[in-house]
Amino acid sequence: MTPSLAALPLLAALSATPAGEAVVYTPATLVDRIDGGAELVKEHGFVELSVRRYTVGGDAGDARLEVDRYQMRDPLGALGLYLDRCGSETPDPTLVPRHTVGRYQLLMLCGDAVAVVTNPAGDEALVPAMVDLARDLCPRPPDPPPDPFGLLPARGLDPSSRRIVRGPVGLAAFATLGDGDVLRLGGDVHGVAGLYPGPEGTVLTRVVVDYRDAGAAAAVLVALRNAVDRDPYLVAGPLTEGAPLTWTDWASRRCEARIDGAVLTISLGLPAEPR
Amino acid sequence: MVPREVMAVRDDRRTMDDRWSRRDVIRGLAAGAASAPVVLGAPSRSWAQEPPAEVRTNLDQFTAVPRGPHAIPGPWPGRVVQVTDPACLTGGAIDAPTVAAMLRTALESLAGMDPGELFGRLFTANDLVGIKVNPVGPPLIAVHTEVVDALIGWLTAGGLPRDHIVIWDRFDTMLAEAGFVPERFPGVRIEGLQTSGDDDRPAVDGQGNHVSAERFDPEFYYLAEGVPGRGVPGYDSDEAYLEQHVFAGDRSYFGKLVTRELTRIINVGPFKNTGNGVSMATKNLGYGVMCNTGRLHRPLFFRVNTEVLAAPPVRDKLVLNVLDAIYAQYEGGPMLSEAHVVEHHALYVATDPIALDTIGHGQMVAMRKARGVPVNEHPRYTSYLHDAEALGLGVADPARIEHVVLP
Repeated sequence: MTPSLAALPLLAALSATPAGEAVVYTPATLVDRIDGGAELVKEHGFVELSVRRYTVGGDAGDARLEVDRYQMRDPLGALGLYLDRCGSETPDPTLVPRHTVGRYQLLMLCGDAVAVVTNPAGDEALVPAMVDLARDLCPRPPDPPPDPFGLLPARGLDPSSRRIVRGPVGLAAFATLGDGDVLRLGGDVHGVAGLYPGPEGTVLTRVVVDYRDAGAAAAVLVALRNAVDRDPYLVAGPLTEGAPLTWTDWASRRCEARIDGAVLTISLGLPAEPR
Repeated sequence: MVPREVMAVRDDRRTMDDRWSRRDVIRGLAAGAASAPVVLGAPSRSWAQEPPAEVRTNLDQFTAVPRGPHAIPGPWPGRVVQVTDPACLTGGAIDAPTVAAMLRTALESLAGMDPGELFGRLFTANDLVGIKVNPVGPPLIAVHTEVVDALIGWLTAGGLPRDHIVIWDRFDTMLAEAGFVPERFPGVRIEGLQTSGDDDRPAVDGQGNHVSAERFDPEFYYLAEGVPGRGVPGYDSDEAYLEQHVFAGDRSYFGKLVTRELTRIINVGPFKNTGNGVSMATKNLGYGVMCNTGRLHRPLFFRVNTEVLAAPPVRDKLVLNVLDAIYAQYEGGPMLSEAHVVEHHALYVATDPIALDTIGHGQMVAMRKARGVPVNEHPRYTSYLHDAEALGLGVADPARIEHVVLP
C-alpha cells in the first residue's frame, strides 16, 4: 500500500506544536480555502483538505506555521497537483520525499497526498521547522510516484514542463479548444502534456490521451473538430480521410490532432510545412 | 486520423450534434455516469460540455451615463510608467524610503510634472480618496503596506487630511491579515465592504440576511441576467454562498462606500496571474467593488473586469492605478505560490488601467516563457481589454501604448 501523509492531529514535530483543531474542507467547501484554483485541484481527484496551524518554539508567541494537507483519490492525482505547483524545485537535502522548499512555502508529494507547509512571516529561522514538519508528515519513504509520461515522445521534451491533464482547467494551461470538457476526460481519464522548445523561441506543445478505447478517441476527435469550427480564432484545415485533423491558430501556428488506435495526440505549433 | 464519420457530417453541425447525443446515450448506459450529464442536457458537473450562453448585462445603462471629467483613461491614455529599483527589497525586507522615491519618480514621469502639481490635477483637499488594495497572498503578492504608505505620504503632502483617506477592499478579515489595521495607519479609515464572519460572529443572521447587506447600494448593481448566485458549483450550499457573497440573485450590488462616499479612487493591484490571464488593475476593481461575484467567474470572468470599470462610480472616480510589483507571480495565482514568485523590484503607474493590464499581461507571458512554464495565449484571455478599449476605457493596442521603463 502506498504510504500516505500522516494525519494532521497526530503530528508532533520536534519544534512545532499543534495550535487548535484541524479545519477540514471537502470538495464542496474547498473554494472557502483556495478561492481561485479550486477547480484545478478537484480535477485531479481531490478528496479532502485538512488545515492546521502550529506554533514554533514553545511560548515563542507569534511564530507559527500552517499545514495544508490535500488528500487525493490516487497517487496520480497527487502527482498532478504537485507538478502544477512545484515550479523549479529547490529541495532540502535532508528531506527524502519529492518536494521543494522556499522561505515561505514547502510543497511535498507523499503517495496519494500533497502537503503545503506555509511560513506566513517568511522567517528564515523557521525553515528547519518547516522541514521537520514535512518529515513528520511523510515519515516513511513513499513508493516512487507513478510515471504516466511515457506517452509523450521523449526527444526534445522539456521535462520541467510535463503536466497531468484530467479536465478542461488543466488543459487550459496548454490549449483552449472549445468550452467545457471537449477531451471528455471527466476527471476519470487522464492525459499528459509537455513542451518541446524549438529554434528561435518556437515551442511545440503536445497533449496525449490514451482513451483505452478507439471509439472513444474517435468521438473526441469529432468534438475537437466542432470546437475548431466554432472558435473564431482558429481556422480549420481541409479534411482528408485518414489524415490528421488540422488547423491554424491566431498566431498562424500549424496544429493537428491525430488518433492512433485509442491514443489521441494533439500538437500545437508544428514546424511550418515545406513549400 | 479523421474517421469517415467526421467527413460525412462536415456541413451539418446540428445533425452531427444530434448524432453525438444518441451515441452518448449508448455510451452513458454502457459506461455509467461519465457521459450521462451530456445525455440528459442538464449538466451536473461544473465542466459541462455546452458552451456558455450569451449573458445579458446592464452595460448599456452604464454607458448611457455621460462621462465625468475625471473618467478613465484619464489625462494620459496609453501611458504606463515602470520604475525599477532593486534597493526596494533587501533580504526580504521592503525599504519604505526607496518605495516612496520610486513612486515619486513614477508619478513625475507619468505626468511630466511635480507630484505636488499632479495632486492638484487629480484631487482637491475636500475629496474622500479610496485606496483599493488587494490583500490576497501576504506577505509576497498582497499589496504591501509600504506602497500604501508612499501613496498616503503623497496625498497628505498635497493637502489631503488623513481622515479623508480610506484603505479598502471587499473583505475586512483579509485586510487585517495583510497588515491593513488601524494601529498601522493611524488617522486613516480602513474598511472592508463586507465582513466574512466566523464561528463566533456568523455573517448571516437567523432570517437569512447577511449582516453586511446594508453596506451595499440597492440602487446600483451589475446585472448578469439568468446567472443567479444560487446553485453555483463549488459551494457547499446556497447558505455558504450567501455567507461569502451577501446576496444570491442575479444582481451584484456595489458597495455604498464606492457609490455614495468616495469621490476619487486609487487602485493598487498586485502583479500576478489568474489562470492564463492577469489579476492586476482591472480585476482588482472588477471583482472588488461589489458583492455576489462567485456566480460570475465561470460564465463571464474577464468580461466583468471590462463592464464594471464602465460603471460610472468606478469609471468617473478612478484617477490612478498602481501595480505593486515588488514581487511578481507569473503562475499559480491568484493565490500565493512562492515557487512562481520572483523579486521584480518594480512599481507601475498609469491613469489608464487597460494599458496597464496590457503591459502586465505581456510581461507575465514573457516570464512564463523564460522559465519553460506552459503558456496559452488564446485571445479570449485578453479580448476583454480590447472590448474595454472599444468602450473608451483605455488603450489595449500595444502599438499605441507608451511603456516608459525607468531607470
